[in-house]
Amino acid sequence: MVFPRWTNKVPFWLLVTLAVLACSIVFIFWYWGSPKHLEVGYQPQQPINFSHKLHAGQMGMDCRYCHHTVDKGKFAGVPATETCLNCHTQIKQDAPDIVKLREFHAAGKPVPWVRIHKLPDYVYFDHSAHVNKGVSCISCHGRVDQMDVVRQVEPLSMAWCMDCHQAPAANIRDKDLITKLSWTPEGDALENGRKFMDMYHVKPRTDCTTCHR
Amino acid sequence: MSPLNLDPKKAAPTQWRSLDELAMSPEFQAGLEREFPEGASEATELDRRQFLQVMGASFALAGLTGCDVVRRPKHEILPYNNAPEHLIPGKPQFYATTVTVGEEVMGVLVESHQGRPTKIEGNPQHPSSQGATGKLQQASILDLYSPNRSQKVLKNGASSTWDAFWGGMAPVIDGFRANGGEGLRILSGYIVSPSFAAIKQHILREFPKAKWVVYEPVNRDNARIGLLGAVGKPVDAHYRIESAKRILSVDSDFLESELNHVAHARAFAKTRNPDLGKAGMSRLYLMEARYSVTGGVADHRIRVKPSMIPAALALVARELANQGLTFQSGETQLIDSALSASNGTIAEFSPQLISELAADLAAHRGASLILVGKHQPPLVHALGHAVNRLLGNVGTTVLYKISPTFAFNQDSPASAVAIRDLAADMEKGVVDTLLMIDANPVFTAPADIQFTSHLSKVRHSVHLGGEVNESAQAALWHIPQSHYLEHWDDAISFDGTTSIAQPLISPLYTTFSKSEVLAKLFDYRYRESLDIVKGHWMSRSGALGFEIAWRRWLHDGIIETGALPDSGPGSSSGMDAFLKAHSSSDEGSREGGIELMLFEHPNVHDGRFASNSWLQELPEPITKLCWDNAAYIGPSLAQKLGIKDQIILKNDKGVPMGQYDKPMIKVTRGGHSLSLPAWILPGMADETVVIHLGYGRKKGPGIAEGAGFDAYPLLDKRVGQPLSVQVEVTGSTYTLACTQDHWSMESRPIVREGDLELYERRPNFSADEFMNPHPPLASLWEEHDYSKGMQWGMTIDLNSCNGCSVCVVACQAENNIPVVGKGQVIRGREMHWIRLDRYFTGDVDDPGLVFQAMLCQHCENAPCEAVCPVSATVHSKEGLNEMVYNRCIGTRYCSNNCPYKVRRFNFSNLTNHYSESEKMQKNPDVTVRFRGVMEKCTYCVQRIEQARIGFKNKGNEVIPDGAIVPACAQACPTDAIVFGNINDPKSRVAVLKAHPRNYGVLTELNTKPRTTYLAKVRNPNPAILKLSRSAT
Amino acid sequence: MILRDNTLPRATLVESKSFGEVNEIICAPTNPVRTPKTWHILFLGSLSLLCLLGVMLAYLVWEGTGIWGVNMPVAWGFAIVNFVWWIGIGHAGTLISAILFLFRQKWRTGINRFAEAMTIFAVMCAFIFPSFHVGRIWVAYWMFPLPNSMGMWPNFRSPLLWDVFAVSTYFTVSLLFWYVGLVPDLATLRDKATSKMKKVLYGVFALGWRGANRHWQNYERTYLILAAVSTPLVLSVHSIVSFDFAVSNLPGWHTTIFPPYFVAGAVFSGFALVSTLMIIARKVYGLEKVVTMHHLDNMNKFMLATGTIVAYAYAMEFFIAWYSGNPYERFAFINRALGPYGWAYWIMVSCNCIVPQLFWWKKIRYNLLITFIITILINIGMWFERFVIVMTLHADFLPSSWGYYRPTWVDWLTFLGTFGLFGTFFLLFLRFLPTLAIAEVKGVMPEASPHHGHHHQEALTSGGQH
Repeated sequence: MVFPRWTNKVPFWLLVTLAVLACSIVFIFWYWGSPKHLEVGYQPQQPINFSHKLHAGQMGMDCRYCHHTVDKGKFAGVPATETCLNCHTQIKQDAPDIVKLREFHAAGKPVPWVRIHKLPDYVYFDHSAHVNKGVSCISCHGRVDQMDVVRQVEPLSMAWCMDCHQAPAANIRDKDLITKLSWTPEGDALENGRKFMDMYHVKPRTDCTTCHR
Repeated sequence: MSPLNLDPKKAAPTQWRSLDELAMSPEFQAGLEREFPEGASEATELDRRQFLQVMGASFALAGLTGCDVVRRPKHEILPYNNAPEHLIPGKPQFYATTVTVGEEVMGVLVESHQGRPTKIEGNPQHPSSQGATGKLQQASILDLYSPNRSQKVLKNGASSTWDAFWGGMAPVIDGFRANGGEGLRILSGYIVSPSFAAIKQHILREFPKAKWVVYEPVNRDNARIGLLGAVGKPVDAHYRIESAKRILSVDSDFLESELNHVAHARAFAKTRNPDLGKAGMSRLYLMEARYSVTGGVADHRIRVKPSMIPAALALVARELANQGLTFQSGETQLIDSALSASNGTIAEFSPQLISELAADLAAHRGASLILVGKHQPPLVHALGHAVNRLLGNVGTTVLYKISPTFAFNQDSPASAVAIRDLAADMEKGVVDTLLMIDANPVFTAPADIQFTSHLSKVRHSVHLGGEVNESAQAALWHIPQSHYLEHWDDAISFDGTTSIAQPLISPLYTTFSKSEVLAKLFDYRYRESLDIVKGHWMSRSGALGFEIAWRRWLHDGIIETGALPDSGPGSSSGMDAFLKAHSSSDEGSREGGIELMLFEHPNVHDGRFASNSWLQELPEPITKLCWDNAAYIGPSLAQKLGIKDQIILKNDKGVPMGQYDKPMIKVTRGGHSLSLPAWILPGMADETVVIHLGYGRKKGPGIAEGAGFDAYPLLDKRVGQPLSVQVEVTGSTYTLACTQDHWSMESRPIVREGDLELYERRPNFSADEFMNPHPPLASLWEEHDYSKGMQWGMTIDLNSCNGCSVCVVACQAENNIPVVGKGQVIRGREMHWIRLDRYFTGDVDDPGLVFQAMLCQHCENAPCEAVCPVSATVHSKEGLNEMVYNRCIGTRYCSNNCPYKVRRFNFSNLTNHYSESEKMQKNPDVTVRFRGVMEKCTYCVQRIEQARIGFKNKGNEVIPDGAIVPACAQACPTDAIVFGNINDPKSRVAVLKAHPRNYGVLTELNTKPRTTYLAKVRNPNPAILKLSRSAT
Repeated sequence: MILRDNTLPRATLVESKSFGEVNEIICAPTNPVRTPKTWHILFLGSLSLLCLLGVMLAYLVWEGTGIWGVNMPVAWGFAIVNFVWWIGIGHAGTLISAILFLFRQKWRTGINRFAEAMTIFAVMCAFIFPSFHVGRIWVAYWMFPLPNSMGMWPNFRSPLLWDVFAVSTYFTVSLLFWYVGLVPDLATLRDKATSKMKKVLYGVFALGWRGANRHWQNYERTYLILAAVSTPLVLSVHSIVSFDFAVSNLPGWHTTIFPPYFVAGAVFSGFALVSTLMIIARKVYGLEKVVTMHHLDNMNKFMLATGTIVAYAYAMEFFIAWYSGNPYERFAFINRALGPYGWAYWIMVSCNCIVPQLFWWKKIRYNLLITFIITILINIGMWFERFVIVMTLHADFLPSSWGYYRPTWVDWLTFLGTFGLFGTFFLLFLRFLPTLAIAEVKGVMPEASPHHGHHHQEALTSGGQH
């Protein structure tokens, strides 16, 4: 007798395990392989410890003071070093980070900020198109005004974009409030969103060429 | 602000990666040095902008490794230290400047992305551009980034330095100060720049014994001399083609290769609108030996052997005399000498044809026009102008104005003479120093004067140029020249419009402009090109309010100097002297036997664009050959020589294709002979061989070398002058790359053509008479609803299009279309999104010619979309057929199912070998495609989206008509391509789509193309048609 | 066996004396001592070809499809030609095992195992081409409806997608069918096996078969069901493959006749290859006694029939093209016959239409050599049929877009390589598995008849043979 009795069951269980294995592989790739798990939470060390919490949060500076092309062009714009020095020629000149900053500026070298929110090269995202339609910074970047070190909070995956492009109401607000990250709508958020959608003619497009060219 | 602030090397750029590499990465400089062109097949290090590659890789990574490990590589964002004002990252800026090609001056606008000029566009305010460009101007931007550019000083071919050069030349120049310039020769192209002319004057003043040689291998000297004879003043003829009802072109390719062709093409197209009716629509008669694009649009194209062209015009003139025009004695002599030059063998012209032609011209006094090709001998030009005057055209369709550039060049004789004199002096050894300023005489000088060997007798020979060409290698010194986008300059176009040329970027390498070099060598009062130009104009217009004027000039791109005064018809009093000088029978004498005609190549010109890969791969309009030139011969000559070319012999039966091996023939002229492949071209004059110059660069840099065959050795007279040659078949073959093997339309309703009679009888003829019978059209799938919103569409007017192909180059520049190289073209893998189809119609010996730009038709029921397994090509709500590169997996099924075959596939990786400099040209708004994905015309969707966002940000939901112009439509000189919203009944495109001439190709397949065509309508002379009918 | 055959004298099916001898004959190849030298030579050859295939595919993935001859307009070249050809070959297997089984054609027993094995290996070869011919194979999985962060689904309207499902289904079912049929014979091998290892290996796959009555009953039922399931597949797979062409709008592709004509062609080429291999194998392994001339004769008749159907299809295509009055359609077909690829067309016609007609003569049907040559010719002809169809691409609607296709050396070597894949697997099959269905062959032997030899009653009660 080469084979013990229990082997009679083997083929059946073999089939079952194979089926389960196949499904779980797909699931693993789909769930843990998605940007939601690979991208969210990225929080690199920056060359200069600039605190958004301090500047945007506590001091309440408007995002657009530094990111001044956010409503004009594709890119929000990382401020030129001179922008920092507008104030820091007076304030906190001898703080180590400011000294570092001045050295960069003196040397004519750009500050090598580390990029956090990165879309693939074949995605043509335009900040101005969103900001001018009442989409707040918070929708994609989260409460930056509460971050000492900025990190990515949204997956920025295609499906994630599409969710909003198909039902934007929740992310539309008064243009004047887009940089007020602390603001929350009183009453029904969607109601409020729809009001401004009509006002700004918000008709998000889902054609491929909206982003891929 | 001056765009010099935007020098990407100095100011660190923001945002996007190519630029931070640009600024910081060490391989940037290395990349610039790298020596191989776009189109070369070898692949090198991975191009980091190849997004799809990155994506493929990251997908592979995604599952394998744990959560936080899978981060993309660290990217840095490098902001400016001090941001330039008005610069919004990602928004292109446009600067006006000027492109000069030989004598052709064209104002252009240059698109710049954060300091990188990426695209040339026409300047609407400049009369020779009017918003359009020629293909040479369009492609010239590639030369700026070409890896073939000369980057360092060479002495005897070994690399040297500028200091060495200045140091080496200083004593030489001092020597000339002593002897007044004895033995100093400066050779340059035709001068159109006032500031440069000022430097020239300065030099000739300081060194009176020095000689300045103006040499353009392809020039208008004959036209000038002829005019001088006919008018008696140094004038240019200004043709008002828009008001000419009957045009007789004598070998004048005025739509492509003559001076001011872009403006002429636009004006001519306006007169070709059949809705102007019999009275209004122009009629073009054309006599030529080759087949030019102008010949393609002609209503009557008369094939004439090269040496018979003068006689042909003379016959018309004599016929006009018979019909009552009274020529003056001098002018009758012109006619006689022209006829005698052709040895009286004029039998091959049907007298009826000539008389009908003459009658038609005579019937349109003051509204007719004789155009004589620049290559025709002075006599013919003089005769042409005489006829114009007698027909009362002077003052209406022809104006004579004093040439604004005459003064710059007058102290040098005609190019053909000048170069011979120079060679003679060199041979005598009296030339001590020769400066070759942006010229390549070693390659372009006629063979029989042995320029190269004499050059060795010159003690100090200096070559200034953008590339290390034949002259550079033959000379003692080669010094690299700045690209025109790297330095300041100015130019006067022949109509007197003066424009400033401002740089878009500071020199990528240590190079200088020709003004700067001469200024430093000969101690001019200014040194920097900016000062030279600014100083010149300040001295002319005075310092008062200069800065304001200067800024306006820079903004507009032109200095309004007012139109030149009309110098009137002039007098032909000098005619006798002129006749004496020029009736020597070598001018266009019938040499008999097989005649060779040499022309500049429409793409690479006299060879100066031979290293431009866009122009190399751009199919020659008539033959659709690229990467080579060939000997064009007619079918009759081919059969005489016993050449059996399947293509031409079998064209209407069967489909002979894939036969690229062409028989070599040996063309012998005197001592010189040249073996090159024969290309059978229908419609060529009998016993005529036409070869394009500019190919066969021996030591041409990069891709230029080895492409084609050098015909200059056969040139012992003027370019374009008939040379009798012996031709024999060598028996060997050569492989040519041709993008369209097939010649006939197989009597399919693709290009729909009729004559004016038919059109007026049945305006809808294109739809009625050509449609294939087909069953009722029903779609298997539920059709989209296109009734709402903006719906994009395009019309292409086949009556305006003359096949010049500038749209193809513009599309390539705008959409980052790669060059594939000769081998891949032979395999049938060219990538151009616009296929400019060329069909011959009728008899193979004397056929008609039609062009049709075939690009993605954006079908409403697109066959490609249904079959893509991954929905990589889908339809937008606005009727665009979208191609999503990053979704495409490359099954190529869409291409199979495309009835128009307008899709292009990246079979190999065509974009990963770009040098750092080539990357700088790429349009950041268009994805650079990776291997294995399909691509095709997108209607320039990036421009649509930019316009949309721009208007929406301002709160306008609708984009006004004309706000979106695709690259092809923008570059088109004839305005044949119209794009817009077909849902707006007032838009130009909607109006045209309602026009009776409008029709769609293959609509019987129910594809519902968004790109439609306006049928071609010619305006032949009914009397002549009757003749030909009775003949057959 | 419950099989009954009243149509044929058993003698012509099996020219063998006893069950034992049949066992001997069929199991012989699995006995290393008696493995002929030819096997080793052939195996070495196929194996090296298989390596060649590996190299070619690696090169392809590295460099891209540019190393092939494909171009615009001929965007599908050898890859699709070979794909359709191999898939076609695969057809005979299912047809023989399923349809002939349902029709109770006893003579199938001689060849079905063979044909089924061939089917599986052919489909494996076919699979390579569509999956590797895509531009970016690393994202080819987008063809499957998997959840993803792009929120994208494949396009279910695309025939290519139908293909993916059709072919993979076909492969799975054929594999099952083949395996189920193998079970009893694996048991036989297990029982004959001498070494422990063999006992275990064969044993595992024999699924503990003991030849009990219940086993036989379940076996027969399963086999019957599988036959019923795969019968429609025989027709569906190649119909769907033909949709790749028929659903497009290309003149010469867009024809309703394609599905039946493809199926017929597939069976045609399938049978041809079966007999080619059979003729070799029975020589090498001396199976003459169980695979008789009678089998070959039947197969030749099949080829004659299907070949004639194919010929009819070709003629009908031309007629319809003319009758449709569609100028593009007309041109496409005239161009096929007289255009630059006319030579391929005439090879196709002569091999597929003219040559098989020789089978009208019994003499030829019974002549091994001629049959062998003809079957080879048929396979060449059928390959060219697919070549001609794909090359229709080179000249469609706009003459300006017409082009010409030339395969590169990589095209050729890749095609050659797939023979390595096929050969390797097939030789392994010959070496380690029973090349014929032992049980079924026994079933059609006189000895298996209840009326054979002894008394009626006993025989009946004795049930199936053990």
